Amino acid sequence: MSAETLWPPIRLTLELAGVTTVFLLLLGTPIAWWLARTRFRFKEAVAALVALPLVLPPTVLGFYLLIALGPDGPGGSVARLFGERSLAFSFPGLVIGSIIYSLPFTVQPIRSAFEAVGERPLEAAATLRASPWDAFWTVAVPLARPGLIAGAVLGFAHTVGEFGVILMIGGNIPGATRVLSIAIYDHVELMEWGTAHVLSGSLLAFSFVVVALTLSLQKKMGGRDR
Amino acid sequence: MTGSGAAPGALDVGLRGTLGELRIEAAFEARPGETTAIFGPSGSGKTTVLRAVAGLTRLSGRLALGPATWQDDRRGVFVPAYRRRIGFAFQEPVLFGHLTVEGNLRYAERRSGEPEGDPSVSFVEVVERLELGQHLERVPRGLSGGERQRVSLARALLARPVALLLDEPLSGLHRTARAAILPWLRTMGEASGMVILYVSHDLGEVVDVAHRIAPISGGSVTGAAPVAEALDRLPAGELLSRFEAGSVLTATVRARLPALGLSELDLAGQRLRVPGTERPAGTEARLRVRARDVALATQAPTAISIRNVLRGSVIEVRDLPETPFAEVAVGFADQRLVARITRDAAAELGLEPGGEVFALLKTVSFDDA
Repeated sequence: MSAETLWPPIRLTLELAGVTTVFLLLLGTPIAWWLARTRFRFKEAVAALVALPLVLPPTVLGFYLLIALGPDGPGGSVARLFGERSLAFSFPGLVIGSIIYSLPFTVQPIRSAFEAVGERPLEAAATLRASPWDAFWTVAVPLARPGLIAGAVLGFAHTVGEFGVILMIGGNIPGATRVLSIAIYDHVELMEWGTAHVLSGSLLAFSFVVVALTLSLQKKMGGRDR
Repeated sequence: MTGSGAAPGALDVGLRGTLGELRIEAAFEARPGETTAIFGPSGSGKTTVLRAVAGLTRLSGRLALGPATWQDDRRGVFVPAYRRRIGFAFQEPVLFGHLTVEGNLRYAERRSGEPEGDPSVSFVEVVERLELGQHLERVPRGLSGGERQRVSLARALLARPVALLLDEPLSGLHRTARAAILPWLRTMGEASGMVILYVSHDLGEVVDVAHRIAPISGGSVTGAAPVAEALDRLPAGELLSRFEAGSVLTATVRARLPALGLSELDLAGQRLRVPGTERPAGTEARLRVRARDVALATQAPTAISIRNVLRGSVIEVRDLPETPFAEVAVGFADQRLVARITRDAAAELGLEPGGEVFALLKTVSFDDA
């Protein structure tokens, strides 16, 4: 057990979760906003699509992603623009997979928060000459902040804990795609119990902090006066 | 308004639509510098009309404020709420919970487009008049209902609107607090040339604040009339059953008589004594007189307990259909008073327009008492 074996997967995991969380917020916030406010008849079908990774076995999702990101899929075409053969087994591929896999964990709390804000503060902002864009940033986002934080934290944590999808589309390339959960799996396979203990224990503590933080945030949000 | 480029003009409303069961029909004009009260019972569509003027609810038709057309369906014009120079106070105040009271007010001020602002609607003036000074640092969560309404009204004013739209904005306040705010609001509207639309079902409030009343019932509001005239008409209409017919008189306080608990007032050269001594001498006061509290005589009465007798002339006598009563409008200089007496009495006294008459006022009260 040494820093050289422990550190690379941790660093890669944090990088992956960090980058994924940024994209989750950029992508999830508008989706949550739309789901919270649209009167589109089939919006729950869209919501179901977003929520699908909650119930889908990660291997199934990973399988389809592998095909999509591979040389013959759309991911391959994108990769060729950058002189690569495929997006599978690469860091960008992991980010794409993680975004799809963790999207429901980000969208759901943000959507609930926007729904709780409701129409009225935005109407009030409109009567004060705030454009919809202005009102979104100065009223909706601050009022929904606990939901946004919960969405970011859950998206980050869920990405950290990801295993099946990554195994399918990322493989196990040290420094490139070998994230924490896969490293733990490897150490167990190799009967390196000590290392597995350290990594698992850290992940356990991290997960506990995340869940506790999220619950307290949601409690705070529930007691909020509008 | 000062230098805003938004020339004040009349608000010209011609909207119709359906909201659930209610057919809305709104056609009236509200003048700049005046407060027009949309007055009627709850469920009559008041709030919907106000929201449609703000652009928050969509009805069909035409809507313009002076030279600015806000809605014209035939030309496909619909200016969204945030591009209308309005201020809006909701009946249930909607304050921004993530900002302090001051933050809420500054939010409006920053977007008013007039950083210097109209001095008659300055931050300091509004905060002082609505007694918000000690609450500026507080968050909305801890405020009482009345405090929230005052913040909401202040915020609407600090948006420096050309049309100020108020939906029962003071319903959570005590009468005394209301009586302090309403005359100020009215005067401020006059000074700034704003159009103020004031929605209320409270006659006392309406009389205190309004120049004109646009009665609304069953979703229909089809015109605004000066307060005295509108009140005079009220008893005949359908809405009347719910409100008491009465008149409003404007008089000047001459002296306070604390020993008697009365104030002496001057009304077109005639003297009145009214309970209450809060108002300083020299100020103008509005008085409310219910039509059924007025008796009429054709000769000056003597040796009676009624202290307030006004001499005037009959303007018109109008029978109230399907009742034994008639309403007699009596004029004093430029003011008028309505008396409800029996038709029988009216006939016996031989009341004719132009004839001299003495109005005996059984009860007169200050409008906010």
